[in-house]
Amino acid sequence: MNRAAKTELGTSALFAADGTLLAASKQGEHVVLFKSSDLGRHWSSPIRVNAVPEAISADGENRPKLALAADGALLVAWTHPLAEPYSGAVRLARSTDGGASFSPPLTVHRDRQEITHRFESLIVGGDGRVYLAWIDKRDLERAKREQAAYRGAAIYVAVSNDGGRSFQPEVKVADHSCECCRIAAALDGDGAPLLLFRHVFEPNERDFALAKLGADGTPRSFARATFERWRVDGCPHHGPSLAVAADGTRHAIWFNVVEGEGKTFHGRLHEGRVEGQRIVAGAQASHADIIVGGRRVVLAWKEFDGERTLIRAEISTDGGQSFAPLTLAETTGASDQPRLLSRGEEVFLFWRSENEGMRLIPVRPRDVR
Amino acid sequence: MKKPFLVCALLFSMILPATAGELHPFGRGEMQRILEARQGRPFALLLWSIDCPYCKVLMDRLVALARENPKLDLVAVSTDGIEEPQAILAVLEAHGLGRRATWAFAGDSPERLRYEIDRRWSGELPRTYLFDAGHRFVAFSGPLPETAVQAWLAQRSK
Repeated sequence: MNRAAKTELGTSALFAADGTLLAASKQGEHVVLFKSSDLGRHWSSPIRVNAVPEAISADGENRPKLALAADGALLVAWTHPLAEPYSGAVRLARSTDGGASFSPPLTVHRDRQEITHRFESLIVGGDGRVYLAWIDKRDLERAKREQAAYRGAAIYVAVSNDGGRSFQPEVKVADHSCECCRIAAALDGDGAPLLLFRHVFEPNERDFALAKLGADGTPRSFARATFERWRVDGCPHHGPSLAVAADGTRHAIWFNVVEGEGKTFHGRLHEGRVEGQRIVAGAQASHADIIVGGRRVVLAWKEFDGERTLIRAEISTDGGQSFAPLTLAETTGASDQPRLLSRGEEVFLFWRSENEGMRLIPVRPRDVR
Repeated sequence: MKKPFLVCALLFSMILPATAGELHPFGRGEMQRILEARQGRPFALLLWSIDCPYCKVLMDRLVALARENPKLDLVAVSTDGIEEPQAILAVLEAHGLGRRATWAFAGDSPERLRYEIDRRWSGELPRTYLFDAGHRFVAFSGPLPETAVQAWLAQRSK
């Protein structure tokens, strides 16, 4: 029986301002950072982000996150699971020397109960503020104590006005979120953060909701974003992805079950409706990502074909009017979810698999077949 | 005099390759082995994970059902990796499955293991399959509809 330590593959990647590719993942009880100056062909040895060891979530919908603060500091966020089931603390560390060393991590929320604060999402607003959103069960726990009913969990956000050195007290974005799907974050056309997350609409419809955050984190708007009406008292484990084009078009990709079968959808989100919605892939597809680079719009997802896990993709060079299919990578072993990165007009797939390690693969229109 | 007992024990262990109270690896090909070991017999298959609160509600329902129906064969498979079994075993113990043979995903990509179970399943949990004696099944994501459970139980007793 194989009882070797499980490799948790959840990894994030980011281009630093100087073009260095950075990747953050988990090694034992440390978040570690890797650097590559040749687009992922060679990687540095791992740099420890948290000097003091602690438990770290990096499987399934979890992974450490990376962002660049307005002052150039590198930010790394992660979930630190605690002893109680489902519990966690959202942590953040900061580096002002390009990832050579990090500040001691801080817990960003004031609520220190040993309950769910997990599935964090990190984004730096157009105004330079740092926003960290997560799934939080304080309202559910309170309802339980009062023997009241409460659907799902909640989304909270903490805002930093000093580039991640400290955080304001967290505020609630929405009640009744789904419990364990990753939250997508992107900047809207005006630089304000958008969150796209799985919600539990009455009575138990697990569609996605879109919230636009104000400077203090409180939602300026909140609306249902998708309309598959998947009714399930269960855990989908399929979070969405969101990318906003320069003209403000909000491209989303998401998974829902319709008539008993899973499907991946792409569409453009408007307040209360989806424009151009179409099915991209079927039941074996999962954990899609989306990115916009200039006129390019790229979608990528995992798909198992019976022997191999493939990363399938679609690329548009006309702002999302038309798409052409691509297959970008494959593996026969375990793998992380695909992540798309952009650098100007260029788009890359970043993908970590157990057998092949971390790969960066350009996504080019000329590779369409 | 001891020989017949030994043969019996050997036969028994062949019929029930999974020893009670143990956590077994659910790797490549295990679904086929589970089906073969239950040829001609109905069973319920539950996929669950530590992080899924709804799974535990369903687990309690299935354990209660198994108490009412002693012949009910429940195959519970955790989709958490078997590499860290303590957390899985703690949940099984707390929900009355501590003394049954159970399984946990092991040694391969979860996509492959899901595919071997059911190509139409995308990983949402809890996921339950009610197999009849001919191993035709009905599948459910989330709670089990009571009507489906009763229909399955009625079919079993025929």
